[in-house]
Amino acid sequence: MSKKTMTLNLTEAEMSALEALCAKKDLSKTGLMRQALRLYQMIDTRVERGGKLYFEDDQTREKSEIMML
Amino acid sequence: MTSYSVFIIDVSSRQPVEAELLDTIGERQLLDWQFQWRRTLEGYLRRLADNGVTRQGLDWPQSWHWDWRAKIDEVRGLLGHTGYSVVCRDVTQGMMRLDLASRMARLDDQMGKPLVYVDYLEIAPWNWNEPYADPPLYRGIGQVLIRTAIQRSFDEGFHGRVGLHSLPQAVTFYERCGFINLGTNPNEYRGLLPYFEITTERARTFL
Repeated sequence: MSKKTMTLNLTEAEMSALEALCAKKDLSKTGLMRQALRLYQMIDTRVERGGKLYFEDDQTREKSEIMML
Repeated sequence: MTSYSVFIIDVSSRQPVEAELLDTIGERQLLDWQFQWRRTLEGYLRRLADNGVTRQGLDWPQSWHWDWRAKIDEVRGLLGHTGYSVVCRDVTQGMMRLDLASRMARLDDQMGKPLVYVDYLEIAPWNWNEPYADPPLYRGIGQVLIRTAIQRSFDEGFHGRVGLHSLPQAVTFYERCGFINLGTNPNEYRGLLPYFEITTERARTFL
């Protein structure tokens, strides 16, 4: 599969967050950005189809909806 | 679409036979499922019924209701999902749908890290080694697909981590592949499907 290269301009805080997530998830920066894009596209598509995105507390079963506007 | 050469076992001759591993589940595969898999499955289900096996019985195939066309349509165009198929002698012998994005590892040593999740994996009904079924035509298709999932995990930088929920009838297969059974969760799949995960080390051993 052919691949394209891009330059990403991030603030220091954004770069710190990216590096922290890379360390936590054991992923390269490219791998992490790829995962982020996959997830964002999946969520956007499902919300567009009428789905809702929730976080559920494992103990209380309480749900909080993430609003995607 | 990319095609790779793989080998499965022809059960009647006990000899390896070359097959194609495709990095897609295309229209051709869906037509094979629709017209060939389902026809064989219908015959098998009739045979089960004739032998007094009910839908609640242990021998009833637990994937009998899977609709591969719907499963592929559901994720069409999504970057986080992909599919693979095994084709031998111009007929689809097995299919697998993967989720690359939305699941995280659960084993203590790899908790929260990304993995390849096997959404669905099925082999053609004429390859089933089940009571009341005719002898299978080919063996080793499931292993080819699991090896593919593990290899994809390495390629993605997930270090071979793979997870899945298993139908009860497939538990032994995943255990033999080296997956660790983490048991069922009442909040997932009505508590009926145990969750399995493979570690980097075990994945390397399997490959």
